[in-house]
Amino acid sequence: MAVSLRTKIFLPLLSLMALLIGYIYGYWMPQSLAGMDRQYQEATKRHLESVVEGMIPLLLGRELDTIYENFDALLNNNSDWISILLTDAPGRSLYPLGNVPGPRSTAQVQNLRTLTMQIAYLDMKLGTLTVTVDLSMHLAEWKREFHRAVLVMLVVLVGIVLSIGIVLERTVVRPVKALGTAAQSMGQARFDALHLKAGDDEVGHLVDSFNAMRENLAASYNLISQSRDKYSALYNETPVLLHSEDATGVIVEVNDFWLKTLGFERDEVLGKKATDFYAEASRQYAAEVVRPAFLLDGFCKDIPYRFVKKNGELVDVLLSATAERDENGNIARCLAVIVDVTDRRKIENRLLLSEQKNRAITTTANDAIIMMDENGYISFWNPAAESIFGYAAEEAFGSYLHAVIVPDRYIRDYEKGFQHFRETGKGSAVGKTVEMTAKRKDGTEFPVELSLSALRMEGRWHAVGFVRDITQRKQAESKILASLEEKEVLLQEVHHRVKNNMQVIASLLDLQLDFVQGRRPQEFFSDIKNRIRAMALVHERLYRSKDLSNVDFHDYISVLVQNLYRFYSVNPEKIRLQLDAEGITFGIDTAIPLGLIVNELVTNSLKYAFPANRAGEVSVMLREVGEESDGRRLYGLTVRDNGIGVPEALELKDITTMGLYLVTTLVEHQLQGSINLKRGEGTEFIIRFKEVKAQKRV
Amino acid sequence: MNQCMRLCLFFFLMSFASFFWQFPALEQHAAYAGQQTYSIGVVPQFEQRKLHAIWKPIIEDLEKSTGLTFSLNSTLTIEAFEKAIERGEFDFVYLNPYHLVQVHDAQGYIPLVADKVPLRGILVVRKNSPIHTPAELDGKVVAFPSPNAIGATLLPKADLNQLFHASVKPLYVKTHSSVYLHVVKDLAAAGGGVEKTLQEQNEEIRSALRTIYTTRSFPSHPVAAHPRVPADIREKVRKALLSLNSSPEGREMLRKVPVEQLIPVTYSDYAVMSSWGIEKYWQPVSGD
Repeated sequence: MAVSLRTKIFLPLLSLMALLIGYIYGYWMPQSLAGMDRQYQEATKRHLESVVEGMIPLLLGRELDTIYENFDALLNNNSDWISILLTDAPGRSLYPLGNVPGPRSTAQVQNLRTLTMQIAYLDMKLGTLTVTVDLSMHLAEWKREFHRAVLVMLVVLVGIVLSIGIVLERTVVRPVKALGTAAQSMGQARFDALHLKAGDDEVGHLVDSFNAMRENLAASYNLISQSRDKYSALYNETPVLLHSEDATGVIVEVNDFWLKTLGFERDEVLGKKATDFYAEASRQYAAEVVRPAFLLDGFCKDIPYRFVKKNGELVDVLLSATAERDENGNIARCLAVIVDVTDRRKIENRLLLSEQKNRAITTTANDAIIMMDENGYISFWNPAAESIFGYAAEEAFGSYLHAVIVPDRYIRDYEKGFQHFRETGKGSAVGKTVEMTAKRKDGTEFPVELSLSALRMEGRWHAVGFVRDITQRKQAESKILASLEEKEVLLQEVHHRVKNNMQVIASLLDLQLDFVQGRRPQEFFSDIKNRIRAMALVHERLYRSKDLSNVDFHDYISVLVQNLYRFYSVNPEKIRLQLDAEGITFGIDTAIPLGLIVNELVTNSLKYAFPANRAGEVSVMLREVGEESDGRRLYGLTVRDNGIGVPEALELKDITTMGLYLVTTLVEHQLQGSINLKRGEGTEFIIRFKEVKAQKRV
Repeated sequence: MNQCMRLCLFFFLMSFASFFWQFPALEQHAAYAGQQTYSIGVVPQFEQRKLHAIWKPIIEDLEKSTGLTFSLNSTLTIEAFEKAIERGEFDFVYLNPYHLVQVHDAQGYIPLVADKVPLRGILVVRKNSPIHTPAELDGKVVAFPSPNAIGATLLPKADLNQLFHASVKPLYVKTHSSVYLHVVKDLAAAGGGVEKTLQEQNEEIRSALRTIYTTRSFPSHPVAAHPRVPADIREKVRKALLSLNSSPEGREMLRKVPVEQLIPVTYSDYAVMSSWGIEKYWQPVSGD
């Protein structure tokens, strides 16, 4: 039976009060009444003694009236005196006048006390005084006082008990109740109950301790909740299949990933045996092999099973399980962790296939494939390496690579480079294909082409090299190089002879000019001669250049224009030349038409732009301005003079002169460009063209 | 020189001392001359507290109405009272009528007022007593207040002796009430009293008694003044006492004395008692 704290505290107090009251009324009060009785009788006796003393002279003087008055006064003044009986020595009644009154009630009889005293003077007996007193009133008064005192005491005690109760209620019961409520709330995982106010006493310390405990519990509970949530999230969202079985193998809990993977709803799974979802072979394997061992060991690991999805597809899994045993050691529950390895199986199969392919490649490759670990030892050596270097794979594995394949004179250099590679994975040959000299088992050296790559495995740098024996290729290259040098000489000779032939043609035209009459024909011949020289100059620049296929056009135009200045006797101080074509080179297919164009336009400026010995400036500017979608570069050529300019009526499409006709023809047909005439202060031709690709010729 | 100076100083001191020796006598003379406080003696008919309770209000009323100051005096016994009046100790006195006659020659107390109702002595027996005549009291114990009480003792004793030839054994019990109680309680065969005091007893006592003889009447107890009291003061007191009749409070005070109504009296009203032949029953106060 639950007994409240109040009852535990008040029951002893009330019991003590009851005992105290029982003691007071049962023992102390009767004792006190008896004492009072005795004291009162003693007091009355003393009073009577004084009365007797007063009676002596009255009796001697026979002053009966005074005696009556005194006794009447005594009876009047002492209400508890019931009667006075005075007799003389012979026993005759002197007082009262009538009969002695008796007790008024039976209860009064119990409290009546009769005191008798003899009255004597010297040896003379004067009479006897008998007084009957009633203690009822005194006892009643005393009882009233007693009851009042007891009542006051009870009130005080009740007040004390109430005070204790109030203090107890406020300082102990309420806090303890609140603690109980808060504890119940805590039991229901609610920590937000009213924060208890702690006093500076033992209960306050208890409340403080409780608050601290609650805060700690709340923090712990939060951690547990978070952990539980995390566990729940982990359980449901972890990408493995999890389920719990009871002792009979029935699934009692399953995670979301399990359901998602196999395509079932939770209701379709819970309550069913886990083996119901196995493929037949797996079910048989589990029953015959796995479960007996599991019952014995309490765990199993990475058991390959096949599960059947709801749609009938098979899922390869690895199942691990651990058992929880009851107090009797029997398996009560087990948790299964199932990893879907279907994809892994596919990957493994692919890896196996890839491995087989790689093995086939490396086995059948003609190039040696060598792998070196971080210490410089050979870790892979394919059959091609065996044939190239003469070492069997068994010999090569674990050997120091540099000692095996590098000629002795190069080993020191390789060692230096290898130290750097081992630390950084970098090196002068890493990521490149380089040619070098290697050494065979028989000590012969031979050229190889090495493609070296760095591979970081387990935090260490390894090197993989593809080595190709290029002995034959080197021999072929030597032959080709010799042939190429021979062809370059031949080409120089061709360009030289073409230039010489053009020079001859130009000289022939000079000779012919002596026989041509008229200015105009001479100009025609001069123009042709200059055009031939312009073309010859291209061939001259070609065979003089290291690159027989391209002409440095800045140099070319510079020489070409100087030749024209000399030919037309133009003072370069008077007609200044501005030339800007730095860094631009063209092949012969572009250089010859472009040289002819510059020749024509500069010739035109020198001949017509500055009449009457007029000073001025001729500007030739060649710039790369862009690139076509087919990769061909676009160029802009501007030939400008500040001479008198061309007539306003002159249109390029209407030109009939040979020079400008040649220019427009070459721009539009040879260079596939455009020409634009700009009039202003002088004449400016702006030509846009594409580089002419050299055509392969038989 | 020095001896002469010492002699002079001695005579001076003696003269000074003799002056202060004479001073109390001078003060007493002055007090009589002023007469500011007058003593009033009351015959001890009752015990002292009752006597005081009866007379104190009357004295206070007298002081208020006369402007005089009085001191109430009494004695414990009749004998002492008789001695006191024989010496003339009281300026005013309430006394037995025969006392007035007895000390008339010695002190000459002048009666001022007395109850208009005359006194008559009586002999009482218990109601159920077999005695019906005074003669039957011969040889019996008869209670009397005191030997010289005129109404209760002297006249009954004289009549018993002279008229009924009965010789009784007197038992003096101080007061009239005591006499009646002795009779009621059968401590005496009969008792001597006066009608007025018997009427003052409570009904229980009165109903228990029976009067078998009544004496001749005589004037009631007077309030008398000593001749040394100035006449105007005596007259002032007489008027003040008579004025008590006119107010209920005064009559109530007088009723307790007991007095029904005060009237002015003179000694001639009492002088007749000297011819009644009761002198031989008078017992002079012994030792004085």
